[in-house]
Amino acid sequence: MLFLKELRRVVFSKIFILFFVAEVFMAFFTQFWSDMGSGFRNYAPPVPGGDYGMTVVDDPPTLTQEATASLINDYVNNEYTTYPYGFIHTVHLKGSDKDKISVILSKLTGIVEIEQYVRSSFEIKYTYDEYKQYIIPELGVLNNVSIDEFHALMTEADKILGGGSKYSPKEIMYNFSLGPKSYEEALAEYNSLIYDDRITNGYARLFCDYHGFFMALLPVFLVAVYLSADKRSKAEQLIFSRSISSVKLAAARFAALVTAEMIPVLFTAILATYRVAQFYDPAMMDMFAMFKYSFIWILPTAIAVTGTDMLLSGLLPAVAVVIIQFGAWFMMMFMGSLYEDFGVFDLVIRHNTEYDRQGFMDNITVFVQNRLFFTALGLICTALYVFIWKLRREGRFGESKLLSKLSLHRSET
Amino acid sequence: MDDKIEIRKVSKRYGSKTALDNVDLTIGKGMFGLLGRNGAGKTTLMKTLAALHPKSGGTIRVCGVPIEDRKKIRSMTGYLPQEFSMYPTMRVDECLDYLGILSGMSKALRKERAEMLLKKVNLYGHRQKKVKELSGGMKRRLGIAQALLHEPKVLIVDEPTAGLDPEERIRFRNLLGEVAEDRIVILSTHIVGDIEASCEMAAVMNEGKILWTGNVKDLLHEAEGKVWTVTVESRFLPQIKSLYSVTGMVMQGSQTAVRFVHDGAPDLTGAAQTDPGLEDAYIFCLFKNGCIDIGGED
Repeated sequence: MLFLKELRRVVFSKIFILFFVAEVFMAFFTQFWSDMGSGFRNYAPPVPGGDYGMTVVDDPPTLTQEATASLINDYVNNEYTTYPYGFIHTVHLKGSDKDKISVILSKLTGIVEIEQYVRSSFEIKYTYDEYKQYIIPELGVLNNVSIDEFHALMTEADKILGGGSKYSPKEIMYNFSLGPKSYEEALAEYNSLIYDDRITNGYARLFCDYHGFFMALLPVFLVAVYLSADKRSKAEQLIFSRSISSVKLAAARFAALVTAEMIPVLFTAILATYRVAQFYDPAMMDMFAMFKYSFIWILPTAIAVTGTDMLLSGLLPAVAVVIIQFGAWFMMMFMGSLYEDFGVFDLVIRHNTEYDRQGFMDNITVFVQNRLFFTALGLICTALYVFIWKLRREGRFGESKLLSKLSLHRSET
Repeated sequence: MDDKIEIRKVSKRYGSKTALDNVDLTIGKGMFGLLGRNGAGKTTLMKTLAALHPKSGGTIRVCGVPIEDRKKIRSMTGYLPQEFSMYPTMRVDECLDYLGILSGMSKALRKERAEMLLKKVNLYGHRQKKVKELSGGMKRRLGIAQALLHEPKVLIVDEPTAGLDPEERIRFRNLLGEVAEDRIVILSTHIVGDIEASCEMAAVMNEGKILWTGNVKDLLHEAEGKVWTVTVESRFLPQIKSLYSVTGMVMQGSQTAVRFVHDGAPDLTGAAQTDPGLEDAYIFCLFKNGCIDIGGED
């Protein structure tokens, strides 16, 4: 009964309507729905002789040649583009750091005075932004540098540059080891979507990719505004004085918030299933795929974000909670990759394609660990929120100087 | 189970500030007034009794239940805070239903009690209104209804009449009088008229201490022979205010009728004793305990 009351309070609030509209439009209509109608997706099997796009290939000679040439160019120009924390940053190295890159290049190429050598040996072409590009067709890595050593040296270079460069382990393959996808690969991918994924399971991953992205941010507005309503409405003391247990009330509010957050996801899951059915044979589709994926993929995100935001709301004013969550989300977004390159501690799991079932399944253990971790995190944070709420209810929170500094909810004298 | 609240040597400190200082009180059934100026410690005592603030020392038993048993205390206490409000977009009947759930009441009981109480506080016709549409007086009446919803043995009402117009204030006091027939009602206020009109027993608080407690008539009795009136030329007013605790002044042309409290005969020609009102008695109590500097300033 209390859960239903709380749920009613959430879903009939103005902030929920804004949340619902934002989630549905930003995560669904402007992404999934419009993608499906844009012709960007292929709905027919590939035909021989077509262009099937690029894919990461296992081709060490190409990788080492391309990456080394790129690093030499950057070194001679002393201009490196990196994306630490998601923001573009141009690095110009000085002193020992510059020398360290020189040493790395020497190890890779066997050339000691690399700068002089390049300037005297290769012609220059200028790119559209006046960047000097030395054409280095034959320069490769030394034969005695193994692929593992090559990766170690590139990782070291990335560290010298402050991280986020195209030489990082996360980015190097996408930048220097791409090759055209073959017809066989394209056909196998398509067949996997149709037969293994029964179409909608593949699209459900794309659907969750978009929702997960926004679900890591938007609930903070709902949680912060909803939980601050007691204080804003001057109803806090009244709520505190009732006999209900702190655990019961907090649990009901947590459950109501998470349920409300899932409403736009489940609503769009219906629309997404309908949308996919416009392009494929419905008889071949898994009609429940969108819902299954929503629960295993998006629900843990909702639990984690709601739990952490509840905890922050117990300590800080609503506006501070929103700023912190927004900052964290912004960093997570731009540090991550679009594809299945995620770890156990990445809140947002990206898989921006309806294909590549195998890539997803290869990471399934990490996926499960990740979702369990964030579910547990959300529940632990909620338990801590209950503890803080109980202290505030008893007038014990805010009495110590530390907590007073952290909290705006001070005791009255 | 005792029908009284026993407060023994209760203290409450916030860092170096003492909000309650060795408070000793016994409060029985009926209306009990807690009188004191703003910042006297009334709200702290009210919140401590409602289990919303921990005490720093002493003991409190509410109808035999120690204050540390918060769940039980909350179930037997109704609390109307100084600044009562609820979610602005919630309807009056929804408010009571929601707060009833938070008090662990069954659906049938919530419905029955809410209907009865809304009729009692004259809000039944407004039950579909949103909280934000209620006037100040209506909100306070809703406050009383919610505080009585779970049939508490103790009702704690903190500064309920502040900001109400005279008619609403009288209506509210009468309402409190009705509900005090079968329970303990503690009314905290800085408005002497509220105590005078509704309480048989009272206490006077200042700077966290209880200065006086007993029957309101006894407070009046203590002030007998201490209240004086005199009519003087208005230009002598500053002198009078610097010598006595003035409780009233009525300007009459160039003359002013002054009412003041003084222990002993004042050195003032034409001064005459008069019957004390509760306001005089309260000021005399503060004066006697050294809480008022002569001149009318704290």
